[in-house]
Amino acid sequence: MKVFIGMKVPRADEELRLAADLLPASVKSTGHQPFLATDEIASRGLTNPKDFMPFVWEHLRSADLVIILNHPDLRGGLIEAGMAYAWDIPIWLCHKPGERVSSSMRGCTDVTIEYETLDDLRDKLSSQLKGLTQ
Amino acid sequence: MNCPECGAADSACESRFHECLALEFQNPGYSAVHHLTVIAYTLQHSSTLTRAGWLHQRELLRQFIVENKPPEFIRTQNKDLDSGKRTFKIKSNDGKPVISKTAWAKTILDVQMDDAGTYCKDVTAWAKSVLEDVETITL
Repeated sequence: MKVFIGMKVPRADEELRLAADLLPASVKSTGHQPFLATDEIASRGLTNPKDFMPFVWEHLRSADLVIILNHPDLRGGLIEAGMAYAWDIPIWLCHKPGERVSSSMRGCTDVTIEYETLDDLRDKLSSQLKGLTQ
Repeated sequence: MNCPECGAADSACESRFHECLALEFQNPGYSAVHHLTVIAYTLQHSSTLTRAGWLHQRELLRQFIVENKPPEFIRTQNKDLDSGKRTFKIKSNDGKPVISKTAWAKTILDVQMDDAGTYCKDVTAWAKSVLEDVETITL
């Protein structure tokens, strides 16, 4: 199962960078194939949205599941969720307690994973992923 | 060569669609109509959909346009109806169009991108016109 992971580009944010390592690893450890959009885009040197949106569209279209890591400054998440919505691809949203989540995003989400720490996120996500058929 | 599905001149529809996605990604003013952009485009390019998927998307567009329901409401409503256990596939990879229509009142090339207000108005007009066109199609 191909799992598309959408999140804010980590840049200098250490926790986001750790999350960018943890999310694909959790997906892989449960036998699924992760696609971390931010890293895939960066590794191809695609910096302009005109260049990376076609790439995102194609990969999202072939995904079986979309996981969005919420962030107050996440711009692309809603667009990715919108594409997943059109293809009727399940959307899982991960967010911290009390974090602002748009009502549109909340409404389009099939599974919500609320986590306190990255370890908590890994455990909860792995548990959900194990419930999926491959 | 014109697009074999929407009829857009020089098959410029795909690159315009990607430009629209980029704009919607960058600017919340443009992203307000993202749900319409995606559905209208895929309905006109039915080779990416199964027959059931196309019919499902047509119904979605009808609910957006006619019933004025927001996407999140419809998703919640559908979750209640089928508990997320849909039995049909939406996506198709065989490249065969579900519909044979190639003449449309509007395509994505009718959408002006100068400012968010014009963009949202044009995407809405295009989506409404797509709905009018597809409502007459019987599969």
